[in-house]
Amino acid sequence: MIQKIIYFILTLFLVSLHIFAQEPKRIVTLVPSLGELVADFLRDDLSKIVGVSEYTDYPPKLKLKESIGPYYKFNIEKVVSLKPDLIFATQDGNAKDQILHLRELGLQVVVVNTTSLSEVYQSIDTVGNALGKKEMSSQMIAQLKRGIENIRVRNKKHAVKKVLLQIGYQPLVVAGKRTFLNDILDVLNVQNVYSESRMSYPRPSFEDVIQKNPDVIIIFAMDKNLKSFYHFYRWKREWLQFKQINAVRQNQIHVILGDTLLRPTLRLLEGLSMLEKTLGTVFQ
Amino acid sequence: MEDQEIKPILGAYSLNYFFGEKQVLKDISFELFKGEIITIIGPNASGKSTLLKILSGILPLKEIESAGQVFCQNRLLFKMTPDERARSVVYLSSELQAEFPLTALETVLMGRICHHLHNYVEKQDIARWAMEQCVCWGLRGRFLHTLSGGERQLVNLSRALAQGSRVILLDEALSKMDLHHQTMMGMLLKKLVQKNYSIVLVSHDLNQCLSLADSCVLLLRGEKIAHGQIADIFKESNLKKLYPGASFVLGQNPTNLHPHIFL
Amino acid sequence: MIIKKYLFSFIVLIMAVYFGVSFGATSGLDFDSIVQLRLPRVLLAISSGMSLACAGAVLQALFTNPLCDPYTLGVSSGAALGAALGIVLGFEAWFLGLALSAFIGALAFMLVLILISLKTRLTNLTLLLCGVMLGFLGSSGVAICMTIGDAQGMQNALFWLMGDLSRARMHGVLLTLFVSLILIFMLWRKSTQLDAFLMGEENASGLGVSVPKLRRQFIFLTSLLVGLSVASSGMIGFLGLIVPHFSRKLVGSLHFNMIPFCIIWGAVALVLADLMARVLLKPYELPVGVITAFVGAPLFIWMILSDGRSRN
Repeated sequence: MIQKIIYFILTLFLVSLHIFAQEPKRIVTLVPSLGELVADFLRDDLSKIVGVSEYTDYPPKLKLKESIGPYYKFNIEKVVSLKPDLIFATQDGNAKDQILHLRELGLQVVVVNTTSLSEVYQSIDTVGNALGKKEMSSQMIAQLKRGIENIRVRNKKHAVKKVLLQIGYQPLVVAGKRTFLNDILDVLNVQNVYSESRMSYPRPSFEDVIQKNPDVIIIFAMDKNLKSFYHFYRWKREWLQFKQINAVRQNQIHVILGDTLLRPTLRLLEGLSMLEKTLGTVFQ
Repeated sequence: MEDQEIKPILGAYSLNYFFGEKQVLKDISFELFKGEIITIIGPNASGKSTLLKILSGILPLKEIESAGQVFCQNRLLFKMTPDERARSVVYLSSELQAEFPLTALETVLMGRICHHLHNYVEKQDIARWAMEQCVCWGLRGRFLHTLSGGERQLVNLSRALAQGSRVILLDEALSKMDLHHQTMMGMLLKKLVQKNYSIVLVSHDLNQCLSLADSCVLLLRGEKIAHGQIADIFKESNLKKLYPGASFVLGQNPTNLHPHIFL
Repeated sequence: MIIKKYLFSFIVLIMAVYFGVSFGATSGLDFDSIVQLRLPRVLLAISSGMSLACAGAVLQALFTNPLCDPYTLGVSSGAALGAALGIVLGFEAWFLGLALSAFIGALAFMLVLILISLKTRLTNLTLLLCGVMLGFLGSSGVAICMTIGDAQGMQNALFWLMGDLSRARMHGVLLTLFVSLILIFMLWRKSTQLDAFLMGEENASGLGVSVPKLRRQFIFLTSLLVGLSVASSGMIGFLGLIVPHFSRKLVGSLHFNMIPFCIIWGAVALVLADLMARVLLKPYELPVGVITAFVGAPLFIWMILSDGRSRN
């Protein structure tokens, strides 16, 4: 009898060890979007996140975490000093050689891609697995897919309009082929005028835009800071001189806050409906 | 007494030199013998500096027949290695560049570069001798850029002496000196010549040339118009060819009976 | 007297290394991490600092121009162009990949310079002008690469171009250090001939130095040094310009002593500059070239002004 009890306790002990071994205890995220995703998985257990990149602001609790520097060049020393057992990075956001360096130092880095919608589903899956939360990730993916499908169906009815998605100014930078933003525009059933570009983020001349003549211009503001919001309205004024463009004539130049649209989490649905609403004024 | 032909220590034969398309020296030939001071006289742009630079190897001659040849101690100058050349002939310009902080002594010691000897004491001794000859040993610790033009030239001259070359080519090298130093250096040159040094002097101070030199070469627009002992060559007719616009009287220096120009 | 100066310089170097290794973006790092993270950087700073200072000293003497620095000959632009092309083509992920492309770029430009100087009998002035033109060519090429490359690569390239020691890995750094020391030694051996150039090309010739041959040799060796430095650490300015000046003030212009001092103080300067780059705005890392420029430019102006006063 006592033997059985001891055996049972031992098994319990070993099983729990196994579970703990799977679940990471000290996590560092190298881009804000992954900070948000990991936080979504961990719910209230945010203490497991020991380091985030600069500008990680959602959920707000992450603002209090140690910063490891900007995502384009994070501080390796800082990351190492936090003694993480799991690090999350993106291939398109973080520097390749820095990720390599972390691996050379023996740290475990999980790298995901977020350049298309399917890659976003994949990254939720990957992150979920790494955190030992497979069930949750399946749930999230299903939810996200449903939400996006709804939006797609809703938008099938209207006529396709031509849209320009601007993310940079002087030089003019737009979202092109093989970007996440392109996929989103596809969901909303609008035509990205640069969907056939060679580069992911082409830098066209104004002449080229006039030729392509979009019906809507969306200026993508990545910063929540009000001051720079004003800054983005300046970009809008710049377009007003080109009265030949449909979007200018019909007053369809919109500035939107982009950060919800760039997160590979369920907040994406929020961002999509906001974009939908903005574009909705077009589809009367 | 030798019946043999005394070979010149420095000989230039049929030199033709071009700067691009322009011909700067036309068929120049002359010889310099041991213990002789020759002066090259001519107006500006007559090719004097170019000639001296070729004679010292600083400007290389084209290796074609028509360019001519320079012999030094019976060897072709351009066949010598750079340090052999430096040990035989030394060229002194009118000015010493002082871009970098160098002391006078360091500058003089550079003259020993072509000797490749590393005995510091020996180098010091030679430098000291050279600087004492040129009356500038007291300046040895001073930086070049703190010296006057004339003092710098004394250092330059010491450097040339330290180099040990027995043929010294002076390109306006005494011009920056004051009267006192000029006179002393003049005496030094005479002393060196007695020790079988050979000197080529170029100077705008014609009287200086006349009182120091034994023979002269007159150069006009790259061509030699006369060559020989000063007494024979220095005639009004030749001088009028060189300096058509100048007015002067050719007389005699009362102290040494050399020709002298009175303006 | 000079021994005392050497001793002092070595002590400063050791102190600089100590500070460089003890301080950084974080405090309380364990010993292993320090060795893995900070030591390679400090060693790379020593290597590049030495190389740039030595190259600057040699080029200043060679062109009898105290305003020369390793970028004058355009070789560093070649290295930058090679590196930019490497980033555009995707080699940057490997430490050696970027270094190799930068190095090849440097060698290519150097070859051009040597070929030019072989074909025509060039004076220093014309060679310098060719070098400056090559420099412009290289930087324009870099600008083109930055335009056609993707945004992320561009950001990386920009940072690297301003001086970046963060790619340091122990093996690569030790190799770079070793090769740099060999090249520096080969240059130092020719100290007396380099001295001859101090008074101008013509005087150098008159002193018995074979000017074309030595010019080629010096350009070859310094280009390798500069190429190595740019390949491993990006473009770091002002070191090659200022450290030789400082060195001359300390021990005079004759290269037998001047070059050793140059390399010690070049190493000190870069180790300290890198420390500041890491610590000033943590966790952000400043490009080290920014620090050398910020500190170097005013320092240089002050040096020139005080020189000018003493000259008059």
